[in-house]
Amino acid sequence: MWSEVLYLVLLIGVLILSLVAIFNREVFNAAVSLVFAFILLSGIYLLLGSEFLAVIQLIIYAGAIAILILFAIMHTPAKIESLGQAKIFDYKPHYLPAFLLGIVVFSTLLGIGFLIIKEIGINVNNFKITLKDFANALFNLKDIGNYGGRFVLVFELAGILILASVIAAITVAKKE
Amino acid sequence: MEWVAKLLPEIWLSVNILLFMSFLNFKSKDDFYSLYNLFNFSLFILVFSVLFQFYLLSTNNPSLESNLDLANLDLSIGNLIIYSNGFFELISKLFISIISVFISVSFYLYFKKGKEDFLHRYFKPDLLCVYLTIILGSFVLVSSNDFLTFLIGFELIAIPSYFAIAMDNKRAESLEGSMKYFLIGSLSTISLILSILIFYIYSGSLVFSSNFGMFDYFGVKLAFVIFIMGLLIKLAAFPLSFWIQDAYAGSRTPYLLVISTIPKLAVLFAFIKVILMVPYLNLGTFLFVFSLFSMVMGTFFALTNNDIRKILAFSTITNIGYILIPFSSLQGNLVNNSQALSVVYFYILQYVLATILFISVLIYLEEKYDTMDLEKLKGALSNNPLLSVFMIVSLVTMAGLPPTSGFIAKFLLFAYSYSISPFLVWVGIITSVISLYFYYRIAQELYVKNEKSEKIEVGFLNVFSNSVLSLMVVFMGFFPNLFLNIIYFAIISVFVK
Repeated sequence: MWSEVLYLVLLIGVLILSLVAIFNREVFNAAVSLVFAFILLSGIYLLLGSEFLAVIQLIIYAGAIAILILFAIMHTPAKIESLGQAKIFDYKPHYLPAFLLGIVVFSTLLGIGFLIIKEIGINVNNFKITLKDFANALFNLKDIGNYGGRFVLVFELAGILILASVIAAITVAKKE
Repeated sequence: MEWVAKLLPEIWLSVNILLFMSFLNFKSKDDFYSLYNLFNFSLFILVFSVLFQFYLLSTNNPSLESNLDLANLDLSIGNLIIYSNGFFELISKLFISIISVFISVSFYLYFKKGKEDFLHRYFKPDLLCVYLTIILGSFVLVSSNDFLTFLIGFELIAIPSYFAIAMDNKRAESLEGSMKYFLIGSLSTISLILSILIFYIYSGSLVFSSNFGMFDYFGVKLAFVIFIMGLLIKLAAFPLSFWIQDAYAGSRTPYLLVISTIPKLAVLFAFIKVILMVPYLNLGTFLFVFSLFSMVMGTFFALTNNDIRKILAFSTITNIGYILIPFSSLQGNLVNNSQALSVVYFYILQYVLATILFISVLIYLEEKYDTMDLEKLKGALSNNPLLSVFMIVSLVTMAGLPPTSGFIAKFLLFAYSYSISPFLVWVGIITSVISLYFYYRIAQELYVKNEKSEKIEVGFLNVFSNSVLSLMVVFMGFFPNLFLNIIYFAIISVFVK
C-alpha cells in the first residue's frame, strides 16, 4: 500500500517538475528542475523492480547529462533577450501540416506498439536485467561459453568509437 | 591466443588508432612526412594481416570445394556465431584494405618532403586517425553477425564521417553539410535501433540467425523493413537521399575521398550479406520504388548542377538505383539470383575505384584553383595531359563506356536482371544514356582552351597509384571473370552457412 502511495507521489513530482522545466523562462531554473525530474524518475524505476535501469538513470541522466546541460548554459552568453519575451504558442502557417504529420507518425508508432503487444503477450519479467547479469555479460571472461563475456567485443569497440569521436571533435573545434 | 588470430586486422587497426593519435599530438610538425610513410606502411601490414587470415582459413579447410563449413575463424558464444569471418567477409575486407591503401596514397600531395610550414589551408593530419576509425568500422560492419555489433560498426563509420566533413571549420558550407548529414544520419541510426528493439521483443536474442527465422510474425517483417530503410538512408537511395548533395558539396576533396568510398562499399557489403541471410522474404515492390526514383531523379538533378561534387553526389544516387535493380523483384529462391548479386558486388567495386581516380584528380584542381565550380574551372586541365588521362578514364568508367569495367559491369547487371524486372532495366538503359551528358560536360568544360591554364605538378607516388588504378579499371573490363568467379564463390559461401 505504502509503495503505491510513494509511486503516486513520485509520478506527480516528475509531472510537475517536467512541466516547470518546459514553461519556466529562466533557463537555469528549468535545467535544475529537469535534473530533479531525472532523479525522481530513477525512484520510479526502482519501485518497478528494475534496479539496473535506476542506476543507469542516476549515473547517465542525473549525473552526466545534467552536468552537460548546466555547462552549456554557463558557457553561452549571459543574457538571451529573445527568450524572455518569446511567446509559448506563436502560431505560424507551417505549424498545422507539421502538427498533422506528427500525429500521423505518433499514431503509426502507437499502432505498431499495440500490434506487437497483441501478437506476442508481453511480460515485463522477460526483460528484467539485474546488475549481476550486466556485470557478468560485460566483464566475466572465465566462462565465455555461457552467457558471460557476451558483450566484451562491443564494449571495447564502443570505447574506440568514443575516443575517435573526442579526437575528431577537438580537431573540428580548435582554432589552429 | 585463439581470439588474436580471429580478430587480427581489428586489433591492428585499434593499436594504430591509439598510436597515431599520440604521434599527431606529440611529434613536431617537421616529422609529418615520416609519419605519413609510417601510416602507409601500417596499411600495407593491414592487407597482409587479412591475407594471413586467408591462410589460416585455408589450412583449417584443406579442400574448400568439398567442405564449405567455414566456421573456424568465427567468434561464437555457445553455438551462436556473433562475429563471422567466412570467405565472404574476408574477401570484402581484402578489397576494402587494398582500396584504403590507394586512398591513403592520394594524400601524398599534402605531406611532400620539405614543406616549410605544415599548416595547410584546409587539410588536417588528424584525418588519418578518423580514416583508420572508418576502416575499423567497415571491418566490424562486414563481419558482424548480431545486431549490437552491427550497430557499433555502423556508428564507427558514421560518426567519424560527420566530423570529417566539418574538418575545414572556417568554411560555412562544411559545417552546414556536416550538420545536415548528422541529423539525417541519426535518423538512420534511430530506425536501426527501433528495428533492433522490435526484433528483440520477439526473439529475445540479438543474433541474426535466431531473428531471421521468425518471419511468420507481422512485427518481425515490419522490423526488417525499418532495418533496410536505415541502410538505404546511408546508401542514399532517392527519397532518403537528402543529405548527400549538401554533405558532398560541403566537404573539401580529401575528406570527400574518405566519406564517399569506403562507407558506401562497407554498407553495401553488409546490405548484400543481410539480404542473403533472408532468402525467402520478398521485398521486391518496396525496393522497386527506391530503384526507379533513384535512377530517374538522380539523373535529372545532375543535369542542372555546376558544382562537380554535386554532380558526383547525384551520379552516386543514380548508381545506387542501378544496384537496387536485381533486389527489386527477388521472387522466392535467391540462389538463382546469386549471379546477379555477384555482379552487383563487382559493380560497386569498380565504381569505387573510378571514384577514387576521379577525386584524386579533383584534389589537385582544388589545391590549385580553390573551387569546384565548372564555370570557373574552364580549361583547367587543357595543359595537363597526365591528369587529363586519369580524369577521362574515370569519367568513361562511371558513364559505362566500352573499354573499361564500367561497361561490362553495367551490361552484365542489365543482362542478369532483365528476367527479374524488364521495366526497370529499360529505365536504367534510358537514364544511363541521358547521364552521358553530364559526364561529357565535365570533360568538355575542363578541356576548353584557355590561355590562363597553368601546369600542375603531380607527385610521383600519385602518378604511380593513379596509373595502377586506371590500368586496373581497364583490366577489370577485359577480364571480369577473374573477379566474378571469386565473388560468386564468396556469395555462395554465405548461403551454405
